[in-house]
Amino acid sequence: MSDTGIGREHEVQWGEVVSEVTVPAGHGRAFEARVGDHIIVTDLEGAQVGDFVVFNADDLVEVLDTARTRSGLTPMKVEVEPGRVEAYWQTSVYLHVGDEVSSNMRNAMLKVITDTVGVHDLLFAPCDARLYRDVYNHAGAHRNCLDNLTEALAPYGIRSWQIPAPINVFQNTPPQPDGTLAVKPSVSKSGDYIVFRALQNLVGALSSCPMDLSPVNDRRITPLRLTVRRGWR
Amino acid sequence: MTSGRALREVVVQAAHGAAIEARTGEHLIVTDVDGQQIGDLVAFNLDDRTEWLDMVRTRSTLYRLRLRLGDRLYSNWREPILELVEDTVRIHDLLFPPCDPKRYAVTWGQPGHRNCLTNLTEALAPYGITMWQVPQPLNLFQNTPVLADGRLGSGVSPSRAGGHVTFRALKHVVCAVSSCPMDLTAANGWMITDLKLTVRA
Repeated sequence: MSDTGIGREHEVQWGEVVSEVTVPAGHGRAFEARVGDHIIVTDLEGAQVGDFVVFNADDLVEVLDTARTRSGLTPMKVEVEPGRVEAYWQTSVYLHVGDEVSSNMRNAMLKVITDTVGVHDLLFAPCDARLYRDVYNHAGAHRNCLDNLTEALAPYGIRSWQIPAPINVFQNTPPQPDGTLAVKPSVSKSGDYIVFRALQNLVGALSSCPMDLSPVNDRRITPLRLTVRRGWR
Repeated sequence: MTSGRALREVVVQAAHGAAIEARTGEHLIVTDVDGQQIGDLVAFNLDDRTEWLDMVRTRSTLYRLRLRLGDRLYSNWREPILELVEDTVRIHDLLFPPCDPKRYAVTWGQPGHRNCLTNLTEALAPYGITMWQVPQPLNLFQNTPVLADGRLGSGVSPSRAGGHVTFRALKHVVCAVSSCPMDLTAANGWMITDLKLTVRA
């Protein structure tokens, strides 16, 4: 049983553990999930961002799409004035419990089931070698989420340029009124987690973001836990 | 500002797409001919089609959602690919995907409606680029600001007839632009009109 506060009662809610891996600090790991499985990302020590991507395992051309997720997957009709109904989407730059996460083909890939943090990012790219070199003037190599995700997904034949913009779980980079993007320390605490339900058969990966030159990880890179549970009732 | 000789010009017909090539150092001008018309812009490096104009890297290299004059726009390899050198409108969107067939079919019950994804795909077909390679565009003249609660606003394009932006190409690119066919919201002022693409020296 995991030591993260997710106990036996969650076997009913989210099913039995079918895979569980600790993503080492600053590295990446892949996972597979079937329709209906729950994918749980746990921040073991707190303030650790995870870059999370998914591909449709049955058709790797279909990938997570944060842009279509922001623009709203589920249409809702709103009566804007008596007798006049217009269609809207629940657009948002944030992720909420109950939201469906869209693919590039505007299909639902994931649903957010539970979230003990409530602060995630749908706007940023994975950090990459050039970010450290060109923006942070870091000399020499630096671990980065793009390489982590690419390494983790290499066994599936996925190339780096196919890696989509991730859901940056636990990342606290909200847009400001002047249009800039703030870079703040993650507010997640040790044992915090987010639970997604797979709505497709998925191949995915999670990177423990190695960014130690900005405040996002509170200057300390730590491991994450990636759990897949199956057979909930 | 960009007074260089016009080398190529193509009209993007209302609700359709078109492509134009720009060599490194040349200038691409996108003009809103009649006003209030959104243009979805994508660009691919012609020397390596695995590199394209990337709104995600542009946002996360600039740490901004709004463009400013002089900004370099980045590719998915986080290399500068376009530079914004002139902008008479100053309202653009870096957050929305192109409108696509499913959006019109599912939400509006209008299967077969023209849409930006198909427009861009058609325009890029001669370059061997397929629908699922079309990235999130820069939505020129689109007025969809982030609201205080994180929702995305849906304002009318503020662009007027003749409004335009000019980019300097920092790589050899093919640019495709779709005249956004969205006529079911006020986004395009309820009227879909032409755009013009000009490449100058």
